Amino acid sequence: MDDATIEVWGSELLWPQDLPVADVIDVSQVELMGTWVHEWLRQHPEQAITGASPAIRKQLVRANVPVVWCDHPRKPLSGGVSNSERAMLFE
Amino acid sequence: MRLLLVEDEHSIRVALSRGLSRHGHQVEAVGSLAEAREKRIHFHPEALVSDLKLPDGSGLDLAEELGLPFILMTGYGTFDDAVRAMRLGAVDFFTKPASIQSLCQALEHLAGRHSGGPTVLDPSQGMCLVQPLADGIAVRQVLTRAVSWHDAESARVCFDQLAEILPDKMHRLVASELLQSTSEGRLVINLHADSWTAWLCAAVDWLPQVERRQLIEDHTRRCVWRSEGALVECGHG
Repeated sequence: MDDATIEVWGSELLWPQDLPVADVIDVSQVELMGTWVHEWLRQHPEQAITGASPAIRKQLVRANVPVVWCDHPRKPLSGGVSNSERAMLFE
Repeated sequence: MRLLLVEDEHSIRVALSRGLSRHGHQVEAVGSLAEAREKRIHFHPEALVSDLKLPDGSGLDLAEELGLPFILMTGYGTFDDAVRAMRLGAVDFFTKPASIQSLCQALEHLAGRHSGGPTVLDPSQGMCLVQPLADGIAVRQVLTRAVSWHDAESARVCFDQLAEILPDKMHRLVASELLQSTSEGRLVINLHADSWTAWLCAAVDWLPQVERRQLIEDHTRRCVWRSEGALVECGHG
């Protein structure tokens, strides 16, 4: 996993666009995800996803999008709080 | 206030003239641009209240020509008309029928008697935001938009236009899903103070995708779906 490539997706994914591919996709910055991303992920089944907010996670689960949740430790935000901890506390 | 009223429909002209006069305004009413230019010479109006489409030209062109503070009325106005009016310094822009009360409110703003911060006017129209300028004159921004698309490319153009005026991310999310849900359609959005509604008129099946509905339901506090033929109304509280 240390050699896994990681790409960060942007904040608003409302319209079809080219998305960077990688072993792991960091969606911690994604605030809005349109249904077109579901289709993208279905074309890339078992894509590893990390950093999903509860809202994004719920959305993908509800839509039965086949992803692999990979919330491995990430570089923490300032103050020593990781992205997943922040999401758990504030979202 | 001395008002020059330009309205080519006789009955409307008489009604507005009487109504504005009852509210203390001195009104000279004419039916064309030519008459307005002539009346202006001797009447010296302080403001112009004009229909947009007149027999001999545009009320907007007249306003620009006369250089008076102005209010426009129209039964055929588009968003682009309203934007142009605003950029030319219109005090207000009304879709007919314009009530005397609304006109008088706008004239009060013009006279600088209204003070305070941004105000939402006429929530029933759902699109009014008044932002005071430095000199106290309020300009009304029209926040309603109708877009039509016929393919994916034009749908994207529509979304880019809407994204500029939709106030929050949930609005943009729903608009994007509606625009992508069908190959062609029309979307009208009216933005209310506290809520908004969207109508979709689709040439083909509308919102058949369960995932889109689920996504919108998950992101809005309450979602009510009603259908009447090809019309869909979606709203949240």
